[in-house]
Amino acid sequence: MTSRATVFIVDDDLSVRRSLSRLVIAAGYDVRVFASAQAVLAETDWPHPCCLIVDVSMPGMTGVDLLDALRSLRRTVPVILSSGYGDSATLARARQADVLAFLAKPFRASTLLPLLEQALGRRAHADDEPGALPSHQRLIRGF
Amino acid sequence: MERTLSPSGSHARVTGVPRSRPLLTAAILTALGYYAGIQIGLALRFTPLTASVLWPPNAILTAALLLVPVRHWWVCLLAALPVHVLPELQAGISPAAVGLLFLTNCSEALLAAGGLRLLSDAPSEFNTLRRVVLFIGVAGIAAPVLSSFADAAVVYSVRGEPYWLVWRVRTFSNILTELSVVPAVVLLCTAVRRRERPAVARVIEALVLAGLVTVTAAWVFGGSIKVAGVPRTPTVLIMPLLFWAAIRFGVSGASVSLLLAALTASYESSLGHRPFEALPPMESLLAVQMYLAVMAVPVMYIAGLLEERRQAAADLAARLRFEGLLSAVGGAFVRETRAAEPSAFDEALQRLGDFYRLDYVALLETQGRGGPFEIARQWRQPGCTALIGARAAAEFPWVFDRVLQGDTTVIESLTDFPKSAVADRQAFQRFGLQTAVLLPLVSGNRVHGVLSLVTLRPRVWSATDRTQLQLVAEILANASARWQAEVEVQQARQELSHLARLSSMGELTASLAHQLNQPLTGILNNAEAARLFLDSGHASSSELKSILADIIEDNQRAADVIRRVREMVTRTTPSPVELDANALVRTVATLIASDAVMRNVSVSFDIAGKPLPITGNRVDLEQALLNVVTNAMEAVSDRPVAARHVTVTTALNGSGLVQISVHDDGPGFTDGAERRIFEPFVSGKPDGMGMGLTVARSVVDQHGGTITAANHPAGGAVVIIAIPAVAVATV
Repeated sequence: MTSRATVFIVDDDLSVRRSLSRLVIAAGYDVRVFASAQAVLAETDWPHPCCLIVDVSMPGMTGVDLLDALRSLRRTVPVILSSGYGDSATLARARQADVLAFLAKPFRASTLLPLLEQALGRRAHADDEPGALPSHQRLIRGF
Repeated sequence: MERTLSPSGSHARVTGVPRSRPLLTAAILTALGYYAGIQIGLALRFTPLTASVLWPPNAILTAALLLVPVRHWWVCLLAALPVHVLPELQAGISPAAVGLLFLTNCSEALLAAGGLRLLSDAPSEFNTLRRVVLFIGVAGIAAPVLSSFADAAVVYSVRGEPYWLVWRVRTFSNILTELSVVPAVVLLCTAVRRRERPAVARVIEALVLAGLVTVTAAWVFGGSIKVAGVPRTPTVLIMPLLFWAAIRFGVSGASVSLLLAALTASYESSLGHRPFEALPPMESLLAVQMYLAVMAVPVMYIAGLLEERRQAAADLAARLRFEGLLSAVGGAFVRETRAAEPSAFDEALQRLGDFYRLDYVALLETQGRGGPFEIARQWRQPGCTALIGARAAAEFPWVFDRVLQGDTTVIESLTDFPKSAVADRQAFQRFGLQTAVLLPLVSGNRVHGVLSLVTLRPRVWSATDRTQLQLVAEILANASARWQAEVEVQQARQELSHLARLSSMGELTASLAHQLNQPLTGILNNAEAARLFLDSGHASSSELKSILADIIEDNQRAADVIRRVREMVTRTTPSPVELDANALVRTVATLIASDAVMRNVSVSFDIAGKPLPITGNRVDLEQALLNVVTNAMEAVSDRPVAARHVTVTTALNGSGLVQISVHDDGPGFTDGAERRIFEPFVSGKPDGMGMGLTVARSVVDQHGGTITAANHPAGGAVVIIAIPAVAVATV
C-alpha cells in the first residue's frame, strides 16, 4: 500500500501544534504532532515520504539537538527548522545545519507549502483515492 | 502717636519713608502735654518768685524727645514753643524773659534726652539697674542742675530775683518732676503703642495705691487730715507706699506715686498747710521737695533693681519655654523616620504658630538653584483664611529677593517697605497682614528655603524673638535640606529602578519575542488554514469555529504578554498594597518561563500552601525577584543541560518574615563574592550591566526587608529575600 506524504510537527507550544497541523492538513498532507524532540526519537513508525517541521527552542532538547540525533541515527529526512527567537549560538547552528529551510516564526503558508511540495513531491492529492474522505477530515479525528 | 515711637531697643528696621501723620500726632501730643504742664506749673508758683515749685513742662519735653527719633526732635521743640510763649506772656512775664526761659527749658530736655541717648543702651526703658541709674544721674540730676544755672541767670538779670534762691527752687522742682514725670509718660506711651491691656485686678490695685498716696501725702505734708492724739505726722509715713509702688509697679509706679505726692504736697502748701512748721511756707515746701527728690533716688533705684530681677526671671522663663520649643521641634526630626518627615515639619510649624501666636506659618522651598519658592508645608491658626491662594514669592518680589540674598526680613508695618516695593506693600494690605518675618533657610551657602511667619494682629518682633527665630530657622534648614536630599535620593532610586527595568527588558527581549511569536504563529497558521479550507470547498463550520476560537485565545495570549511588558516598563510611583508573595512568584514564573526554555534551565517552584501576605509595590518586587532568578539562571549556564536547576521556594519563617529563596546548582561563591554581588556594576556576565542584584537589594531595602547571598549546603548558591509579613489576624 502506498503510504501518504506525512509531516511531523515538533513544537512544545500547543497552539502552534494545533494551528500548524490544521494548515498542513488543509494543504492535503497527513500530520503527526510531537510535543518534544524526545517524542520524535521515540517514534518507531516512520512513513514515507516524510518531512519534519521542528521548532528550534524547546525545553530539554532543542530542535538542533534533534537534528544531530537523527543524523546520528542515520535517518535522512528533510527537515524544516522554525524559530520564534533563540539565542544567537543556537540560531547560528540552525542556519549551518543541513536543513531544507530555516523559517522565522511567524511564517506564511505561501512560504511553507512550496517547501513541503519540494520535500514531499506533489503527491498529497494525487494519491487520493476516489471517494476517500479529504485527508484533513480523516486526520482531524486524531486530535 | 504710637506709630511715631521708635521701637524700644532700636533694632535695625527697614528704613521707612517719613511719616507725616504720626509726626503731626507727636506734635499735638507734645503741645498738649506741655500746655498741661505749664498750667500746673503756673498754678504752683509762689509769688514773687518766677520759678514754680513744680514745673512739669521740661520733663514732658524730655519724655517726648526720648520717644521720637533724634531727627524728629525739632517737631517736638517747635510744637512746644507757642504753648510755652502764650500762657507765660498772659501771666505777665516779659517777652524777652519768656524767650530766654524757653531756651533754658529746652536745654534741660535736650541735655537729659541727649545724654541718655548717648549713654544708655535703651534710653526709653527703665528696666535694668544701669538704665535707671543713668536716668537718675543724667535726666534726674545733671540736666536740671546744669540748666538751672542758665535759668536762674535769666530770671536774675531780667527780674532781679535772688540768683541762688531761684537756682535752688528750680533745681529741686525740676529734679522732682524729671524723676516723677518722665518714666510715667514714656512707659505709658510705650504701653499704648504696644497695645498692652493690663489686668483688671492690677488697675484696681493701682487706683487704690494712687488714692492712698494722695491721702497720705495730704496728711503728712499738709496736716489737713488730723489724727487724734498724734501731734505731728512723720513724713516718713509716705515711704511704705512708695516702696509698694516700686515693688508692684516698677519704675513707672514709683514715678507716678512721687508725682502724686509732690502735687499733693504743693497743693497743700498753696493752701498754707505745711509739715515743717518751723519754716516759712515757701521754705517748708522746698524742704518737702528736697525730701521727695532725695527719697526718689533710692526708691527708683530699688524699682530698677526689682524690675531687672523680674525681667531676668521672665527672660529665663521665656528662654526655658523657648528651649522647650527648640527641643520639641528638633526632637521631632530626630525621632521621625524619613517617611514621617512631612508630619514632623507640620508639627514643627504648629509649635511655632502656638509659641509665637502666629496666624500663619509656612515653609517654602526652592527647587533647584535660585528657582521659584513654593510652599512645601504650611500651618494656619484654625479659622484663619489668610493667604489662601497667595502665590508666595510672586506676590512679594521685594521680600523674597532680600531673603534669597540671605537677609532676614521683618515687616512690622507698611512703612517698613521701601517705596520701590509697591507690589509687596499692596499684597500685604490685600491679604490683611500686620506683621511678617521671613527667614532664609541656608545650607551649604545656598538659600534653599524660607520660613515665613505671619500675624494678622500688630505685634513687635523683639531682638530676642529674632535671635530665637534664627535658631529655629537653622534647625528647619538642616531638616529640610536633609528632607530634600531624601526626596532626591528617592527620585534617583526610582530612575535607577526604571532604568534597570528597561535594561532587564532588553535582556528579556529574546524571551519576549519568543512569547509573542508563538501566539502570532498560531494566529497566522490558523487563519491561513481556514482560507485553504474555504478555498477547497470542504470547510465545515465546526472546524472554522474551532479555528476562530484558537485565534481568539492566541490573541489573548499575545495581549497578556504586551500588558506585562507595559507594566514592567511603565514608570510607577510606589503605592504599597497588600500582596501575596506566592502570587508574585507565580507571575515571575510566567515571565521567565520561555527564558528558561531558551537557556535550557529547569526552574522549579516550591510554593507555600498558605498565602504569604506582605506590603509593597508589586512591580518593583517582581522586578527584584526576576533579577534574582535571572541571575540564578545565568549562574548555571556553564553547567551541563541536565544539571541546570534553579529552585524557587516560598515560606514563612519563625520570625514573621516571608522568605523567597532562589537556589541554583551553579558553582556557588568563592572568595567572599557573596558579599560583593549586590554592589553596582559587579556582573558575572560579559554583557551585563551588573545592576540586577543592586536594584533587587534597593527594592528589598525599601520594603524593610533583607536580601542575602550564601553558598547552599547542598551545593550552588542561594539568595534569600526576607520581607516582614503583614500580621494576619489569627483565629
